[in-house]
Formats: sequence, structure tokens, C-alpha cells
Amino acid sequence: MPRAKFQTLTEQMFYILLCLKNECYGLDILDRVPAMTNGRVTVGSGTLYNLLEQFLAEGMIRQTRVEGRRRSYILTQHGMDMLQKEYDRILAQTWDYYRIFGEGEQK
Amino acid sequence: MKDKKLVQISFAFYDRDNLAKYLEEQAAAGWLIESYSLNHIRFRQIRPEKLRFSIIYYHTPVTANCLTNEQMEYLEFCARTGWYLVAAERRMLIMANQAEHPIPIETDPEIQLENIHKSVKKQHIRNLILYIAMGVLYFIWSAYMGVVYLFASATPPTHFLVMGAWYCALGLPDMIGYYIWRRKARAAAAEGTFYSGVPSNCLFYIAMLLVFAFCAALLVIHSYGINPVLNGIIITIITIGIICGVYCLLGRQLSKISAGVCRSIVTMGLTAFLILSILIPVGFSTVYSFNHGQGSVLANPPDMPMSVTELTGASFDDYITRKYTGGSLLLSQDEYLQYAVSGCPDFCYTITYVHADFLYDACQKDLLKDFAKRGEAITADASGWNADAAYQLYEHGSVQHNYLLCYDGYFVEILFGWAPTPEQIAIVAQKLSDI
Repeated sequence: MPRAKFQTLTEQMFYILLCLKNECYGLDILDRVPAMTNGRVTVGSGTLYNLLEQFLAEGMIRQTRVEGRRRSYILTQHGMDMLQKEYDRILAQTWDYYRIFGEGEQK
Repeated sequence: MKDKKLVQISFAFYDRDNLAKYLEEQAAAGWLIESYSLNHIRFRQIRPEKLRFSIIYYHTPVTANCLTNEQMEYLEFCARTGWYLVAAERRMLIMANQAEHPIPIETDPEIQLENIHKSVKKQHIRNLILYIAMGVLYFIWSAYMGVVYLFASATPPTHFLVMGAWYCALGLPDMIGYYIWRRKARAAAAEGTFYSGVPSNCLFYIAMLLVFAFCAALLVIHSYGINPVLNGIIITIITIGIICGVYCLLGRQLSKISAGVCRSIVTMGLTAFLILSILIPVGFSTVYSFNHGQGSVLANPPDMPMSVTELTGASFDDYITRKYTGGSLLLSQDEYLQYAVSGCPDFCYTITYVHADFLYDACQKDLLKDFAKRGEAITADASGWNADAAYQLYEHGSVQHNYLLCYDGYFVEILFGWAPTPEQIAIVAQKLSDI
């Protein structure tokens, strides 16, 4: 069954929003995400474009500057809340994992 | 040496992987796509190059030399990872990249599916629904016309049936194929992965085969048996069709022909066959076989089951006599018309022969419906006509001398230009029952 939109965030969504903690050009996110994750996570250019449009529509980010066709964005409070919610979810999962496997079995 | 080429090739609109693979092969051979349509691709010559291609669906139609700001921004995003636009066909963008392993343009399967579906609904699904609707309308219209008109007339409207089958075949396989592919892709996207299965063209080939068989049957029903030369032509055409189809499919199975080329050959071949199956019955159906009377070259009166001269004693030369013949293996009709030159009454009759017993009731229904279009069909005394059933036309408040007679294996509709006497009716009954 398809996940409700933004009910949980995919890794790509999560890191895009992280990049927008500070004002950032949309295009620059393409380089920032792999840099932030040591190449573990990459975002396709088309996917990034679509996600930025969707985040804008949902009010999770807002446009700060427009220079020709280059647009800058920053997180809104709603976006920060969504990130926090996702962080709490991941943390809860991590703690559940520790509880089951024990700290000694962590790599 | 030519620096451009046009290739007749066809891919299902959702078969992006095979299209991308084909374009990569062409680029490696020194041909870069210049423009794309569902039935052909135009290439221009380049130095052979290893390129990666990606087929993207954008939410608004794109014209490569007239981009909107939003579209230019999207392409700038793509250019950041090395992707550039090489061709666009409305909402479908064909992108190329020179890197060996470029970052894909779309890395989220759910977003990709959403984009594809939004665009495909506007660009393709609407057209497919239209094709299917037209196909169904053609069949409904054929059913409304009735079996007599479809299989017994001198100029059979087989194009209604052929077009009905063709439009349904154009629309249904791709529509069903797309939704099957989409279901699998959605299941994979729900798991966070891209669906890697290549769309199967099975449905398409099955539909084409059914259309071929249907049209071959129509061709045989309508045209076989008219003359030996035509029989030979029909058998040859059908045999060539079968050989081409088998060659294509075997070639596809052995991977000697690409999916797109195979599909294109089958589509073009079937289109040609459909055109022949429409033209041949019309071209070879006999319109009239004699025309005796004024301006006629015939010296002797033609052979007819009965004529006005036998009933009234009038001279044959006082009439223009025509015969129209049409039909198929299932039904046939001979229509005899005798128009008086001066003063004498006209006499016309049509014999409809039913060669396939299972069509007898349907024929009777059609002929009665046709009869009743002109007035009311009232039951008449069949025994006087040596018939199984008889009907007389009642029009404008009075009975007409227009009868529909039902015999075993054939029907006769007669129009007398005068009130026939009982003796004349007896003569007609004797002649008609001897057919």
C-alpha cells in the first residue's frame, strides 16, 4: 500500500531538508547531499526538482531569493517539525535496536 | 553519404528501457536521435559515441526550441549531473549523458511513477480510450447495419468491421499492458525500489494476430470463390502475412530483431493487410452483370428466374433490365430490376441466398426490419406463394404490391408495378419455389 505523502521521509527527502537548514540554492543540493553522506546518498536532478516543488507546495520550505532561474530556499517551521518528527522516529528505531541486540553487539 | 536517416520503429509508450537501450546502440554506431514519434525516429550522424539515455516524462508538453522558464530550470538541474536534452515528444523527454555511470535523473521510484502517470494520462491514455471507443462504435454500427448488408451487398462495408478491429487493437493492448506494468512498478515503489522488468509486448502481438485472423476471415468470406485468380491472390497475401509474422516473432525470440523494429514491422505489415482486406472485397464484388435495353450491347434477353414478360406478356425490349449481384461465402444477393421504357409497369425482385444456415433467422430479421422501414409489414398468406412465410407492405394507409417471401435457404422481396392477378401470383410462386 503506498505510503501517505510525507508521512515518513525517504533518505533523499531527509537530506534535502537538512541541506535547507540554511539558505541554499536548489541546484547546490545536488552536490551537498553526497558530500554530507560520503557519497552514500545521491539525489537525481529530476527527483530533486520535483521534491523542491512538492516541499514548496506543502509549506515545508520557502523560496528566499530568485536570481534569473536560480532559486534559493530555506526550511520553514513546518519543515523543521517534519524533520524533527523523522529524527524522533529514527531515534526510536535506533533505541529499539539497542534494546533488542544490546549495546555490546553494536559494531 | 547521408548524414540523416529515418527509421520506422515503434515502442510502447511505457517501454522506456527498450527505447533507451536502442538509442544507446544507435549512438555507439554513430547515430544520434534528432526527433522522436511513436512510429519513427529521425537520426543524425555523429562520431560513434558511448552515451547513456534516459526517458523522462515531464508534466507539461515540451518543445525543444521553445522552452518555458520552468522547463529551462528543470533542464539546468539535469545538466548539473551531465544530462542534456536531445529530443522531446510532447511530454516525453529524451536525455543523454556522456558519463559511463551517471547519476540517474530520477532516484525516487514513487515520484517517477507519479510523473509518468500524470503525463501518460494526458498524452497517451486519452488517445487509447478514444481508439477503443471508436473501435466499439464501428462494431456497434456494423451490428446495426445487419448481416444482410454486411455479407450480401454488392459493395460490402467491410471497412466498418476492419476499422473496428484495428482501433480496438491499437488501444487495448497498450492500455492493458501499461496498467499491468504500473501495478508491478507500484508494488516495487512501495518497497522503495525501481521495477526492473521489461514490458512485454505479448498482448500487442496477440491483438495483432487476432486482428490478422479476423481480417483474413473477412477477406476469405467476402472474396474467395469469385474467380481463381482472386482465390490465388487471397491465399498468397494471407500466406505472405503469416510468413512475415512468423519471421518477425522468430527473429525477436532469437534477439536478431529489436523489440521496436519487430513491433514496427508487424504494425506496418498489418496496416497494409487491412487496407487490402477493405479494398479487395469492394474491388472485386460484381456490381451488375447485364444491362439489356436502351443502349445495351446484349443481343439476347438475359437469363433470369422470372421476368415481367412472362407475367404480363410485355416485350423484353420495352424494358431496361439490370441485375446486381453481391455477396460472400455466407450470404449473397441477386437483384433484378426491370424499368419500363414507356407506359408499362415496373417489376423488381431481390433474392437473398443464405449459404450459412445459422444466419437464416438473423437475415429474416434484417430483411423484415428493412421492409418495415417503409411502412408496416403485415403477415400474408404464404401458401399462395409456396413459401414458408410471407409479408406484405402496408404503406400510407393501403396495402402495396410489395412482398417479402421466406423460403428454405433464401428470401425473395418482390415489388410489382401493378396489382398481380391470382394466375400471375401462381406463376411467380411456381418459379420461386424452383430456385
